[in-house]
Amino acid sequence: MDFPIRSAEHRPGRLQNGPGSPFYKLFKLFKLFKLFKLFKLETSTLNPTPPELPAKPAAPALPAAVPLEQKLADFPSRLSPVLVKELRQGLRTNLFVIAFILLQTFMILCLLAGLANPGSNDSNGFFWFFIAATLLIIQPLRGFNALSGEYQLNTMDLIQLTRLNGWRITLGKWTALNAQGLLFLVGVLPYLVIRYFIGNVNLVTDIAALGCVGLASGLLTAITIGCSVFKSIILRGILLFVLAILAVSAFAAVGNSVFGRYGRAPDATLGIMLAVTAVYGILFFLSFGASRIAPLSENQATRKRLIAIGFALLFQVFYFFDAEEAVISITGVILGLACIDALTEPLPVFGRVCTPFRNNLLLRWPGVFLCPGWISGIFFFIFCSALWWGSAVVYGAVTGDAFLDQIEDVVVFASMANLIIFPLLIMHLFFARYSSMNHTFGIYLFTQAALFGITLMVMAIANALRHWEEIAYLAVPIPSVFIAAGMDGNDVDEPVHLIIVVLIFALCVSFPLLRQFRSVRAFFSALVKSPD
Amino acid sequence: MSDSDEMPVEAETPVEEVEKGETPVPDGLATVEEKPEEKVADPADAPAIEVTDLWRSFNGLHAVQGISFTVERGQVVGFVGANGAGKTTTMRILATLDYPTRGSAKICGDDVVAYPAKVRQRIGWMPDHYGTYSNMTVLEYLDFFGRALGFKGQDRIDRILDVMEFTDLTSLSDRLIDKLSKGMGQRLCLGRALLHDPDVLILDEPAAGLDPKARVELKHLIRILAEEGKTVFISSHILSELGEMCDSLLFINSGRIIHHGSAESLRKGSAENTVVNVQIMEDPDKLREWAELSPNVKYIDATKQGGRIEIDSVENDVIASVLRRMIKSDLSVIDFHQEERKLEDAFIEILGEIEASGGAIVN
Repeated sequence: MDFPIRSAEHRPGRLQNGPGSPFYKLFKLFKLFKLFKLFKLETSTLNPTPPELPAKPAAPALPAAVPLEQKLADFPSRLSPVLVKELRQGLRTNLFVIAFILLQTFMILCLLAGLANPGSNDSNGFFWFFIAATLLIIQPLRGFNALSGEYQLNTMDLIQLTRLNGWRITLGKWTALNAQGLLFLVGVLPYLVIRYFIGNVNLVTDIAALGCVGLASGLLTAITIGCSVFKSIILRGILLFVLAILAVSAFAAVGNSVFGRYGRAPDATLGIMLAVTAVYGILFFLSFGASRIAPLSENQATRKRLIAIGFALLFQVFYFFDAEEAVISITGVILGLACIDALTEPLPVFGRVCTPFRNNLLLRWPGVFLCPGWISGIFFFIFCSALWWGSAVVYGAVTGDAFLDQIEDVVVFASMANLIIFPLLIMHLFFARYSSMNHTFGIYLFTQAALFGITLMVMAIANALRHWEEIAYLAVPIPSVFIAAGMDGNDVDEPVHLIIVVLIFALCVSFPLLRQFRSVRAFFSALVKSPD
Repeated sequence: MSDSDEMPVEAETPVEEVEKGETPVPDGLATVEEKPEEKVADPADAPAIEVTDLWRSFNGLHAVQGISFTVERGQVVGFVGANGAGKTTTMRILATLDYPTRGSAKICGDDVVAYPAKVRQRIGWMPDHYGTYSNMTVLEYLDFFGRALGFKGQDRIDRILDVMEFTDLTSLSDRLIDKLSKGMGQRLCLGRALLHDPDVLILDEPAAGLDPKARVELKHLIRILAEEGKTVFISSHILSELGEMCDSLLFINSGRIIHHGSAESLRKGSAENTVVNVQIMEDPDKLREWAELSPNVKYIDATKQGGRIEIDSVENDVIASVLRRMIKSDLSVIDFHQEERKLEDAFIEILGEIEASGGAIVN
């Protein structure tokens, strides 16, 4: 029975003070209290006839347990299952609760600072800093493990056996994270209104900025969810880091133009283009994740490629709003992203995914570049190159520039297309056995990064070698740079460059198809052969 | 995309014929070679599982090598093999989670490659390692899968409650699933697999890691499901348990089926003798003396209260006559039972025969 006291005495590192110390006295008092409690307990249990206790008042009735039916009806059936699941899980996580409480605390502090010093911009800066940190860092990072986590937990197979397809899974996860972000935003709105009454605040600008942050948050969240499909944390981390920097830089750079900072006039057209590009980015990265988690019998490519073509065509409208240069750049980015994705898609079960195209005569030819897999991806790349070329022709017509009339322009244009497809040649030369697996995107990135690294090195050496400069440029692995570098010399014939760039294009396109001829034959057979 | 957007209805697409290649594609999921679909006259008559010349290769390694077997409806079939034998690969192909490099697999007459959506409606899949979500209760887990399977409103609620009652999870409805024991987790996983009331259950090592009580409970549930007419295709390492609950057993080794038959036939094996364990009330030596004088009987060894004898026949008449002679000889027999081959021994024996025959499959 003396276990509690003995254990207290034998705890090492406790009660270092002597018997006379106040700590020791306190401890003795505690011991006496414990002994007293034990004594009371023992006497009460030994006493055969305990005194009758006065009748206790009836205990208050426990709240009736919520029926299971009621618990199951907390979210309506029409909501996406993934959204419901993610919301139930997400709102319970410590990260969400802590982030929400911290944001509220900081908002109150900013408000108090604003009240104390109404003219100061410091509280304004802090206000936006905390909102941006929550929506642009914490919320997107919560999606870092969104899809790979399902693989780690062995739940992806179980989900794939349901009626959820890849798109609905990624969209559900993205919507859930944004719904939680929206909760943050709603929580911030009262402070926004109060700041308006304190003064020194332009409410319209604030709401516009909040909308921009919300859009950027949505894009970053889509990027993290799309990249979370890769099981390698290193690849995921690097990809996420680079893409996030690119996205934030683009937002910051274009945002300055949109809001008319640094002496520039506000540009509404650019703002709309930025918003549309962000929407495309969200769709692209969600589709990217969806196609990578989808079973090989599921077609997630057609929609993704049609969206890219649709957005590219949509941007041509902006030629009529004095945004020529931005149009051609953004079209290039949209089609370039879609092409990289298409060229690195794993090969699907052709017989299954080609059926809708084969059964409709009108769809057979579009099927050549709209079916899933890198084989059709090559044809999609050719199609996109032509589309971009068309966009450039429109640019020439609208601006009146003699664009693409010069061989030099054509060479540069084709070299940029080669830049995208050249790693595919390397992949099929050295990594052919991985061509039908899910690693292709990672290999593509690795190859592209390695080519850039070598190119930079060789260019640095070439610049150092004054006499052997042109020969050194021959060692540059990226054809576009090789051509562009060569064109700087006066003694190089331009038509030769055109021939070289076309040959490289033809080689990059044809080599993978010839190398994987059996797969190519199976693809066309599945696409063209009539069912019995 | 709203929730009402459905997955493409793959089942409605017509069956395609794809050119059949000359050799199995080594690494490829991509160029699955499909044969012209054989139209089944009445899908209700089609076997629950029909596997024909199924191959699956990974980077040149043949995990499954041309296996063929059929499981009739309502049967409970055990799938037995060592680790890496190709059990899980086969099961994943049947569950539409993987693709054959060559050959075909059908569930209730529907090809798993041509009609994955239709097949998924007919199967309940229980993997060897089921996934647990954090911050999610048992009820929410089942609700998620109920919604994901497309059940709405009261129908979904009824199904979830039925499944929870069947698997005895009602009292655990509010328990977080990452706090469940292995046995409870397996029951939950089985409940999830039953939500859409599938015809065929594919259970990959459901009893692995379970304590004896949970194992008995799981066995009980599977028995009830079998009585309800569900086809159960189950893999396990514990052969004795499979023997008790399965109508037939499939042995797989190195990607090939090496035996397909009932547990009973395996236990009997191809032996021409019967080993009987006899216990008597007298001195065990009396049994030895009697055996040495008796025709058709050979004394093997002594036990605590008798001994083991070998009868040179497997015919029931001969075995019964031996027992009659024992009683006539005034031996006070208190136990007389045939010793059966253990299924593990049978499995090892079959493997030994295959090795002895240089890898050729005996049956």
